[in-house]
Amino acid sequence: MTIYKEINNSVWDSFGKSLLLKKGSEKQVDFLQSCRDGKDAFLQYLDKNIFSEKDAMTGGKGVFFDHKFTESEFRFPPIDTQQIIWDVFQGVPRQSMGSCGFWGSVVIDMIKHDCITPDYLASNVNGVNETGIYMLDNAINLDDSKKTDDCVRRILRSMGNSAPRGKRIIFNDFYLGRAYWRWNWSNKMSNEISLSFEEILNTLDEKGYVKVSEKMHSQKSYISQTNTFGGLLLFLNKNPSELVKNIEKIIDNLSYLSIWKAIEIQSSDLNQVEIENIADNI
Amino acid sequence: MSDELILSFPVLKQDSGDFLDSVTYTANAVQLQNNRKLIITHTLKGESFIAELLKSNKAKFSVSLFYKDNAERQNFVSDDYDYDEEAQEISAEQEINIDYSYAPEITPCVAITSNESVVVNDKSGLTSFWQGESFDIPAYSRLAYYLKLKFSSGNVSSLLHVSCEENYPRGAIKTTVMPTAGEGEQPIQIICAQDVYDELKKGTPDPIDANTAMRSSIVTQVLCYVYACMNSLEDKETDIHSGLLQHMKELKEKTGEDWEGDDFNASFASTKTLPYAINALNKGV
Repeated sequence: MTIYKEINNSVWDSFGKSLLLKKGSEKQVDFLQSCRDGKDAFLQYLDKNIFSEKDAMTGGKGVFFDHKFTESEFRFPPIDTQQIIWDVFQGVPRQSMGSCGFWGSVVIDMIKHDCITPDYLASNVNGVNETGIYMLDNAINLDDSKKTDDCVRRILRSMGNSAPRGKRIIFNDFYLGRAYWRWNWSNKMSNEISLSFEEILNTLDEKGYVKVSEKMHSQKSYISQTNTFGGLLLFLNKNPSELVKNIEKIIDNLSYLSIWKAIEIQSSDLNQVEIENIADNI
Repeated sequence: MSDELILSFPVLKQDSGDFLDSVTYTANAVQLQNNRKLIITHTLKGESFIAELLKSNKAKFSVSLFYKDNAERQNFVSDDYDYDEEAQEISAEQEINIDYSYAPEITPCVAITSNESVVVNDKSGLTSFWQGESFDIPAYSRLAYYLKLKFSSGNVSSLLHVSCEENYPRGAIKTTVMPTAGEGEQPIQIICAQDVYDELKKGTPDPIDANTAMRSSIVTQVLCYVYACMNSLEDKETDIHSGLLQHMKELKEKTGEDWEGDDFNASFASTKTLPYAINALNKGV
């Protein structure tokens, strides 16, 4: 298995946690200011506060993008950018793709190679024009400790750091990770069930993926079994409105069923029927 | 919720009370080849209706692997088994490649693959409560469970990773806790000066003299930090390393100190777990 370089997860997590110790602290403001000051200042800050630690980085192959992202593209990658992300990471082992330290190293390299600028990390472009620069200026200058803390958290999430929400961040909150994992599931499941890659990608749209993934990375990881997830996708493809309406209840019931029934060895088609029964009784 | 299910057929598990004592299901896991391969062994002992279903290929040994960091689950069904008639023992061995550098959680079971009806007789392996009864078992029901197998225990030494930092001043120690470390990783990292490192490398047996008392107190101090970190976690359930979680559960069971509580005191809990050995200290070297 090829080893990819990554930040030591313990060091990476400690770095994030140290920033979140006190809302509005001088440490938080310094971090935001370095991000606001651009590439060189931000990389220097990271060098001083992460890479000065012994064994902060484990060696291995790097991953590079030959693509300059726009801010909104980094925040909400459209389908062609998702394709670029998938192509770059397709050959990387799943273990690395599930590592916060790996993603942290990727994002820092993206800054080093001018694929993104540090202020993108603070971006809250979400139907409103809350660019990274705007968010950083507000957080630094408004003397509002909550705003400062929120901005620090947003940057950490955008770098795949586990401190704000644990390791699941790279499957749910972190833009690149979310795009990769959605495509990864679509690719994997298209080899297991009668739906095509595109059909699964459509079924598991952005919002739908987040709902399912949140469950997968909480106590309901049972649905990540191939046959179980296969049944769920077949059901959702036929009943797309259920994704919004009842998906959480369906997954809860499915997990309950799995306690006594080995649905993981039951075919996806039979699990689809099982899920239809569950949905009918909600 | 899981233990409270009432099913219309008996399930073999620890303390279920439905089966005769002679009927047992166990599973064992061993890691091989630099931890890249798992050997899972299932053993069903005693005469029972489950044994009959296995022998007629209507039931299978199965194992689920859970790689926690990626929430990835894999499932492997055993298609083969060995039957020792004299010992009345059915066993199966599964050889499985591990895709990750850390060990998964392993959940073994026996599952039935078709709808079946069972009429209880004296070879069904069930207690007198079931004699003369008959029951239906839906396809894919779990007939026997074994405990979840994990490679990391809650034992303190299995959770610690000690490394030396030559630039640290003599006697200095830095502890970090990674509650969400992967299975098979050590979630408590101790970086220490050379002299502390040398001392810890000698092991920490029960304190009997000043030297061992000193070593033991280093671990007490580490635990104090670990407990304070664990108590301050916002989410005390999700993603926590199974060994660390087990240790915290044992802490509560053995000392009564509830690490999830608001009035938890880390120094009291750590000194209850590993008390300062004052008597041993005063014995000298």
